[in-house]
Amino acid sequence: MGDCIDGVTRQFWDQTVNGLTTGSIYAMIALGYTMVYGVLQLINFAHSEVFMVSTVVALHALKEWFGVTAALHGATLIVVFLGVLLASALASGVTALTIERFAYRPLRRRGAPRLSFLISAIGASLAIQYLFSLMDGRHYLLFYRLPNLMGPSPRQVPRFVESERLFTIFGTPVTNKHLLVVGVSLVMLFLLDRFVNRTRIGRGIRAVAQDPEAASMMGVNIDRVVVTTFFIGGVMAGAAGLLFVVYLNAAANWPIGFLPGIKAFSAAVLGGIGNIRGAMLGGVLLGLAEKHGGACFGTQWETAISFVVLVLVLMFRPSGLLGEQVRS
Amino acid sequence: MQKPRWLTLVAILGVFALVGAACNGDGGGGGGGTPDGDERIEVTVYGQGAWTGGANGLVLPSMQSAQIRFDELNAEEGYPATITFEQADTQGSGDAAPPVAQGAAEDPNTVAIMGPAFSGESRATGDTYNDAGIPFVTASATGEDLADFDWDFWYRTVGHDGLQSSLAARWVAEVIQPESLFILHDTTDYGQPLAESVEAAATDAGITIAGKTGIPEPAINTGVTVDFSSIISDIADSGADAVFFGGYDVDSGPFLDQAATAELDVQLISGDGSVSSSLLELAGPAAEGALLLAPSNISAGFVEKYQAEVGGEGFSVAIYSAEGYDAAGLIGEGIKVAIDGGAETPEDIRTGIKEYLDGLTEDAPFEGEAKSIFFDADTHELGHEAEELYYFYEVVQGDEALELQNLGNAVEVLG
Amino acid sequence: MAESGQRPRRRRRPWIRWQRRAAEVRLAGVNRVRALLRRAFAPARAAQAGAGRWIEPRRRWVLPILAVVGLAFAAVLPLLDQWFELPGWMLRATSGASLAKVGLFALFALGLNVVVGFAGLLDLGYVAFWAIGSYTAAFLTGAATYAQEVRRSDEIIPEPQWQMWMWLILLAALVVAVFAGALLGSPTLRLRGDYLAIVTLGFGEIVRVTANNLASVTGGPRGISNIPHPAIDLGVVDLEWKTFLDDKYYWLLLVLVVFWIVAITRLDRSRIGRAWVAIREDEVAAAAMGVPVVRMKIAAFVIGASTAGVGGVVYAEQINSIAPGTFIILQSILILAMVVIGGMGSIPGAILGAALVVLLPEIFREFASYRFLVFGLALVLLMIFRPQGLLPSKRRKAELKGAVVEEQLFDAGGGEPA
Repeated sequence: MGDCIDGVTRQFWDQTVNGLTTGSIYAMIALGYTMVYGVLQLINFAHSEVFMVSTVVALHALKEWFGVTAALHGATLIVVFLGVLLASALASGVTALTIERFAYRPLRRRGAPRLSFLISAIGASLAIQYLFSLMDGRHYLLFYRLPNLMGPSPRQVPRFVESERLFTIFGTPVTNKHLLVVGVSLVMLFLLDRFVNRTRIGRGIRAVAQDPEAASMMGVNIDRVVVTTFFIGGVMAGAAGLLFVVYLNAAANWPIGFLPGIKAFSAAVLGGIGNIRGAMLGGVLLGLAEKHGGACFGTQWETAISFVVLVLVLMFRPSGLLGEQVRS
Repeated sequence: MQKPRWLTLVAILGVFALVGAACNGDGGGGGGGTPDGDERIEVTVYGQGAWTGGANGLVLPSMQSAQIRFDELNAEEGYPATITFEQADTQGSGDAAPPVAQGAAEDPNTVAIMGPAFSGESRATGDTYNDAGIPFVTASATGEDLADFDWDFWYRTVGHDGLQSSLAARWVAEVIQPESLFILHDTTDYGQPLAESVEAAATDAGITIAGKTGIPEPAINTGVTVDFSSIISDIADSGADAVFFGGYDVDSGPFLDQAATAELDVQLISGDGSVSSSLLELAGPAAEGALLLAPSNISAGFVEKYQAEVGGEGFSVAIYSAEGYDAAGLIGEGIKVAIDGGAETPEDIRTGIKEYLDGLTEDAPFEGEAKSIFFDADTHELGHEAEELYYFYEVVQGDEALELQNLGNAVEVLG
Repeated sequence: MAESGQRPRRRRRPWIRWQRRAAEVRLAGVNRVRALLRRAFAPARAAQAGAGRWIEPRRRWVLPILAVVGLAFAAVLPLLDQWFELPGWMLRATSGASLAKVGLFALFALGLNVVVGFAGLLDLGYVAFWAIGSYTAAFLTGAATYAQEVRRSDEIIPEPQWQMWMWLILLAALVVAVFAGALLGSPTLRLRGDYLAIVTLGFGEIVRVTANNLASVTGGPRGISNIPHPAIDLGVVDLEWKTFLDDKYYWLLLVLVVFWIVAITRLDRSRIGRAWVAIREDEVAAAAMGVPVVRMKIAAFVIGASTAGVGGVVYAEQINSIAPGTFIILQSILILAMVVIGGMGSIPGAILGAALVVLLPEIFREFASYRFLVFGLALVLLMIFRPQGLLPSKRRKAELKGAVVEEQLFDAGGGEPA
């Protein structure tokens, strides 16, 4: 116990910065889970693949389109970053739409039982993962040679953002990468919040989340709402994928989505699934719990700690910290 | 609401078409035998290990080198068999390994296994091969406890982690001499025991252990680059100036990279799991200065042959390539001796190979590229496992890219 | 169905009492559950059509004969390769080891089917109970202590010799798993569907991470080896299981599967089974009618857990060595897929699902790299075209027909607002 308190106090600011940064990434992925759950009451298990596609597209865009080999600076960096952000977010959005179109919509039309959606999602998730693992330019699908995008082994994404120490908080260095991750996620979360609360289609999303039948009777086009929801969730996961790659200098890899996906899903439930602000809160809290818990019990317990926190919270607040509704 | 029946049909046909196409795609790879008219016996050797996946940089060089050797044997005048070298791809995971090994063991043409390449998959599949009576020769699984399983058909042509960890600890204590050492492991069945035996040996050598922790979900298991931020904070907090990392390249690479990003100034020391081209790729410039050791001589003469034969498919850090070539040579020689001794069926050849391997002695060993090979009669470990078979490396900036500089073997470096 | 037809009507009385109590609480839901119960049991089938009447007397002997023939066929499967020249894919599919794996996963699927199919509880951490069973076996056979001792000393220590105790260990693991199931279940089963899913998933991960990190107890990432194979020596019957390729493992699992089928079928047709139907269909209405919801949920959970515990023991003794790397989320998901592929709530379905998911990859080994892509696509297609699974249970089908209007996620309706 002494070790624990000692560890947490000494590493407090370090782990807070780490936790906030990781948590922001979780929060952005969690939004996709929570929004889809809000309108369809379904766990979009394939959302982790939406995240994965973004890292692969970021790799491809940086290498092939922008020809990046070394760190960039100044205006070039900003242009390239925004370009890659756009590309990977769009690719992820399109992936999310594809999943909705082929794995969910046919089931919705049939009124299939809810567990069918889960299995269909798992199937889509497996199919997308292994499809990318075959994309090494040597395998065929229906006599069509798959492009050389990913393949079975991880590929390092060019390190185009150089880390720079900007300032310190109580002795803990804060780098441009920390600020970039937290900043971009804050901006996107703010935009999303505005979008859901202030626009017409956002109102549609909230209406469908509250009562799909009534919403449909009031003239809300449910298909359009569903498509928009998936697309926005995809864009958020896409941005998260790029931030993940930049923050950790990560390698793109076909199974990369699973673990962040599970964590983000826990974050969504922690905050109250279906609740947009809950997902943000849940993500950040989960990140902080993981890092501080690691300082306390040893980092190898991080995964267990995040789930223990989740179970404990649900025990006392059975519908998450902020409750379930998609509310303004 | 109701879908027409034909749509179902189209969907099912689609799936079959996919399978058909898959068949098309897979047909391209593999193979390497040169069947000719004289009465050669068709035999199959499976190479079990991470043909694909994150850790294949550690395994492919030895498998590619084995293929080179088998091709040579098949082309050899008067060689009595045609060897097909098949892939038993486990992606390095002990969990994925049992069905793969079962497939290899149930193939009636199988006469020997090259591998399993890693210790985890060895533990998971050793019984399969042993029960089936198939000799399995590993050139890269270094787990210390593998000999304890008493598999009659298991042979190891490299040194094990017991010596590796004590040499690493001596290296740290006598040469590197840090103020204090941090022990980091990847919570796998390879990395954790290695790191813990280094910890024990280093403590005995009088080095301060500043701290110890594990990676929560290592990339070797999940495929996800690990977020080392909390571990880096932990190490910075401990004040250690050196870290021993027990684990694989896919984790040590990103660790070096992220530590450099966080301006953590520590000396990394790691074992054979980190010695690969992937380390250099994943760590980038941060790899420079890392110290590594492995029971493999990467800059020996064979590596040039390997690079020339494999060409663009090759790995710049060809760890265990000579060892793989030797293991294949060993198996090939065993097949020859067995058939010359009258064996015709795969079962007889298996027995013959085992007899050949058991018959090797210090006076009459198998002369390989890396070393001469014979086995301890009880453990089936290398009979002359010795410190000079371990090599130390430092990552240095070469003319074009980062490369490994061979610092010499353990005897030369530690005296 | 013939059996339920014979059941005296009298037994349905408790429901009538519950109905009265519930009348003012939630009439619609109650009516639905009552309709459901009526449809699902009793003479509902006979009333459906005249056809049922002439099938029934035949079925009375057709079914047992089919069962015996099926069982005999299943039992001789591993011997086929000795009698016939089999093509490679069939050889792989009928090898003792593959069939034992089918048997093991069939057992798991049967257990999870009780949780998911009967009681409608979404459990994504089922693998945890498998792990608990396996580790129980490792501890009780002495393999765990042996592993620790070997690691500590250099002397040669005799390997654990606990073969004969397998049957007691099976029982012990069952009890331990029941305990673990109740421990996890009693606080969490109050949670609604999807929350339960994530909590169970988390539980599975907690068990795995703990097994991996508590090296002094569980052997850490290396796990525990030298778990002895089982044996029976009863004078008349003297059996010893030697290697994991031993066909006897398959027969052992076959016996367990048959035993479980009988036990679960009886449970399903008992009051508990009916309570599960009620909970699955409308929890609030069931509670209102006096069904002890939480207790019944825990019962389902515990039965599922004990099945996995027993399977875990057989797994550990067959494979000889266990490691935390086996007990990953993907296993839970695969078992869930087996249940849904076969048809939720359907016992033959669970077995078919297990056989397909285990054997298809064996059969299509030539397409190694495409297997999971095709498997994933097949799952999606199956859910689109046959969401009820390949062998849906009759009762479940009847329910689905009746309930679909209310239960379906709203129809996408092609974009036109209704």
